[in-house]
Amino acid sequence: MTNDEALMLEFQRGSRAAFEELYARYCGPLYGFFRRRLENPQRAEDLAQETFLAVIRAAPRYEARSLVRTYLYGIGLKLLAMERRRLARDGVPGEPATEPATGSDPEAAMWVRQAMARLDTSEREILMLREYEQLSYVEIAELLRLPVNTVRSRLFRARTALRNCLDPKGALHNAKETRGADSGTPAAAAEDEACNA
Amino acid sequence: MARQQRRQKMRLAMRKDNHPVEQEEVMAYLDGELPIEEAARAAAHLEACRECQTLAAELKDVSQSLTAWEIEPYDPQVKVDVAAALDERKSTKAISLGNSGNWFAAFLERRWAPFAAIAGAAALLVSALVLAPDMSHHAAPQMAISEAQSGADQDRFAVSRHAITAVPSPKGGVVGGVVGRVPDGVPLGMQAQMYQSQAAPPSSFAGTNQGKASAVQRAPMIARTAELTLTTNNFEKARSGIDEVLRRHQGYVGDLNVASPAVGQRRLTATLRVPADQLGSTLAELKTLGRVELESQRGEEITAQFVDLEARLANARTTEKRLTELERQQTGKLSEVLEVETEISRVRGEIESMEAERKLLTTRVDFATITTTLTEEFKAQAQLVPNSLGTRFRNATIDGYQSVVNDVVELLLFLVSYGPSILLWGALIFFPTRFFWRRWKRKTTS
Repeated sequence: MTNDEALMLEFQRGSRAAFEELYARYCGPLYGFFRRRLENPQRAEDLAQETFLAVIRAAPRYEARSLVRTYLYGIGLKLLAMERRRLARDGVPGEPATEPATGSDPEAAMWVRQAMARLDTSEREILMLREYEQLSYVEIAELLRLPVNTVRSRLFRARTALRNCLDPKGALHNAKETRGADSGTPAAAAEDEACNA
Repeated sequence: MARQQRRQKMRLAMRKDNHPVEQEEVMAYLDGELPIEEAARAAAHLEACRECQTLAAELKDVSQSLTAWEIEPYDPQVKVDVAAALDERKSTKAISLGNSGNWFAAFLERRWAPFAAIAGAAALLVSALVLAPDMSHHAAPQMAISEAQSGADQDRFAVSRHAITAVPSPKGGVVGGVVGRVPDGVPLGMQAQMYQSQAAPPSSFAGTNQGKASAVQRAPMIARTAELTLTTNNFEKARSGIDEVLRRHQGYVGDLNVASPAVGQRRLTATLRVPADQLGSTLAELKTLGRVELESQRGEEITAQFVDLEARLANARTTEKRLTELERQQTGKLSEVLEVETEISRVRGEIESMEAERKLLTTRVDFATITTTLTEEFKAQAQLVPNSLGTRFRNATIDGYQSVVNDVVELLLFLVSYGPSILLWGALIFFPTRFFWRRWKRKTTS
């Protein structure tokens, strides 16, 4: 199996098959990357496509200095930041979240989302890059331009914070109570208090 | 709540003194992020320590629980937009290769291609503007003589083929500056290499690439200076003439001082900076502004200094890069991280200092320095009508008054300055003297 970097270099030399292989490997993970960070699934799909378009445009300038995976998620993070700026500028209200259709346990998924939403932004990003994108500490540090030790500390803090909320029965119970409720409601406040204790 | 309190207590109890492996290291071990030796140590500790086993189990639970957030599957087929972009890229590449070759296709794909095109056009325009008057100067007999006088060294490089670049003028706008000179007989391909080498990274300049290095060695970097002392009988005209000459040759004034005493000759001292290739013609024009009292020229070769500086700069950049990578990749104690950061700061300071020095050297080569002294011919003027008696009397009164005031002030200053010392020494000498005087007097009386 050809590695990603070799495929990227082949694509740089003009191989369409190499690009299609890369696309097959990373379109799903990239879609998941955007989907977990954006409410709108259509925008997540668009941004995943835009990531590959950016790769095509930047292919002549590509230098194999880091892993292709890091390279792709680096583009993804930039596109995500642009999208968030656009949403903030246009004042677009948060579109209603669409629940993943295939989750075996939708309630647990909702609890995870709510627990993640309570984390500090930087810690959440590091945790998601580690857990869902399966990036190493060094790759995360490179992407977020942070020292590796900082990444490790923040990841530990994020996991500890989640561990404090990890009471499956209680969590599910809270999730049921707070489903559909905005943050700031008494139920959400009670849950915040429980998790922050 | 009780469970959380239990965890809190456990976390507090897990300190470094009773756990050789920190909690973060347990997590890193589970993530497979520890080096082999540390991983072995962590594994051995985990086998024996129940608290750490609990922590590891909880961390695994967290990761396991996060897998509940699943995402719907995604169609791996290449979408229309991406396919169209791929097709477009392929066709563009094919057309470019078919028409102009690989290098042109690569150039078109570069992001900086438009900027490079604009810079190239600007350089052509500036070279056309600068070389046109320069060529007319070379056609004049006077200029030919001045070029011949400027020495054998200048003859070697007195070639009309120059590499022109845009240099910001201190007066605003853009003027032409000569980056390098090319000896006669060098093929055009070699010239291109030489120009690239002058702007290239230090490794090529320092001699790692033999071909380029040999070319560079044939184009020494010379910082030119000249000194010119003139005497003129029309100071104002000569003064404006200097400005005119500078304007024609795209030079500028580095420093200018004019002394205009009430009685006596006026004197102008100026440091002029002109493009190095126009030094000869500028000097020739300046010499027409008056009688030449002194003329000297000097060329200092700074190639070795420049090459040495470039090599040191390259080394410093490599060191900075390695330190940055080290800081990014290695984990260690806080003191070690701080030490690396301090070292990075020191290296960056050195790089900035060396870059400033390199810029200064380049400017010295691009622009020649002319130190000009312009002196007015002295014409003594007889004062035929003496001052009136009243004026002379008034002047004498004022002089006398000022003299008295000055004397009083100086006396006060003297007393303030030396009064304490005089009092001290007076006291030290007075009392012993009085003692011995009285003793002697008593003896003589008895």
